[in-house]
Amino acid sequence: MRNERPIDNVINCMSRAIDNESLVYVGLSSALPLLAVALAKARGLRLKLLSVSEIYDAEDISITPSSGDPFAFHGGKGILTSLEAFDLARKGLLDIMFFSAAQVDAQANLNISVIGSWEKPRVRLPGGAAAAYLYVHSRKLILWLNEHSKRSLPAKVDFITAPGPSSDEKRRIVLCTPKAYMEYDQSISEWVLKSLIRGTDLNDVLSNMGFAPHMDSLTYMDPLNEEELSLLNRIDPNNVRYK
Amino acid sequence: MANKLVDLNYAIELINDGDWITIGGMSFHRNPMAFAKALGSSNRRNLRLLDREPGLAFDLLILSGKVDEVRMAMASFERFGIAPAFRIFAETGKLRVKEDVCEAIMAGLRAGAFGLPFMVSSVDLRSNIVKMHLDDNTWGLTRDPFTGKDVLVVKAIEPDVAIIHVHNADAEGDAELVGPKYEDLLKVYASKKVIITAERIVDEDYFKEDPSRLTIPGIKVNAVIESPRGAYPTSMYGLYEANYDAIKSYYESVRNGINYGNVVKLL
Repeated sequence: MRNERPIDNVINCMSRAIDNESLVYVGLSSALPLLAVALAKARGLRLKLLSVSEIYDAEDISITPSSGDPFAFHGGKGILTSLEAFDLARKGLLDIMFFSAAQVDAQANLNISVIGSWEKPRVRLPGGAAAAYLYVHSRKLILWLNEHSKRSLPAKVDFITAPGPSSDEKRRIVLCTPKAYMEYDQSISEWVLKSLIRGTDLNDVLSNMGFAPHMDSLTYMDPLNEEELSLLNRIDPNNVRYK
Repeated sequence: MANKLVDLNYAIELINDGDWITIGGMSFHRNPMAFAKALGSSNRRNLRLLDREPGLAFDLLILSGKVDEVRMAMASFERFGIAPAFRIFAETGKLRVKEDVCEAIMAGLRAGAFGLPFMVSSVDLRSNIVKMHLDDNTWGLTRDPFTGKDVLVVKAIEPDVAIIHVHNADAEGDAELVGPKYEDLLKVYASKKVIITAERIVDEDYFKEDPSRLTIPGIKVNAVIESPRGAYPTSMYGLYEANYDAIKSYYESVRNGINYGNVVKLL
């Protein structure tokens, strides 16, 4: 019996959101995006990987507790600094960036800064890193949440670390949770629920969100097959992704 | 040739109470750990730390109680959680946190390194982080003379001291960094004083044999300290990997309220 873990669904969902021929950047605290990139490459996508580790165009990766670990990127062709990667993004050349957040709200704003007030936070979060910049300077943003809950998906964030798009912005924003896949549609300023992880109940998804997403036709996402799961186990033998 | 080789305790004397300090490396990689331990155990006070995405050395200095204020874009222990001392000290009001943005820290360091008063930034104006920096006068809004549009600028960042751990250095402070550079070169050029700790002290012939080895020129360096395994338990590219068990023990010990004196022994 295989036991599907929620985090593997998030990785699967993110990998399917990656487009072929993309220039991708992966930041710190991003073991799941690294696994999603590896999975997408194994499915035949041609990607160029830039990362906060500064190893340029690695052939293969292994997962350690730090996604910026230069020892975890194998077969790289050189060093490309984050300074240079961010300059490329400013020129509109970065296709895909990944972010997680403590809160993602109905208008696709991200909070990675504080829960409670700015002056006296109830929870001091790590900080938004590059989000206030790269969230608006990448063509596509793939967001992930480790939990699908009213807490992580409120109607309004406590603090806007990085702003959701206005109706005239072209960037595409998608979101993977352990239960669902959504795409933000700036023409209607709403999240659109596109698909559910197979076996997930629609009411369970909707009742665990702080806002109602738009819906038209729903699809179901199949879990990872054995081959894909064994790929994740090969590059993440210590199960860092579950910790 | 000037001989700038000193020991750790002498180099601590270059740091004054209240200084803004920036360190090299990132997260769990190439942190100047030996220096951070010496500074954390010194009698310096009211220090302030500036960085993009700091990790272990940054958190250890906060835990030492010698830091009043930090300015950084993210303080994460990645898969382990939020930087533990940073979080505890911030939530109990013992640490002023000025959250920044990676790109804006880079812009401020570029201005500092380039000798310019400010640098344009592309941080989005709708982020709530912007207002705080405008209020503090660390960022400003001005007009692009070519388009007439508003542009965000970051005031030059010129730390009092930069501490960079490198692979090889000679006695004059000429240094070689192998692999990832992060913003370390900007930090060297932006800071008023530069302290180099090095895995290995080499003869100046090491650089003369192959001038492309020179990453940091000695003219910008004030002190050099021999510090083999000086980044441990963070990684040193090409030499040794991060010890994640030690970092995890640190994280759990700090979360469990163990004090600096006992935690520093774990590293």
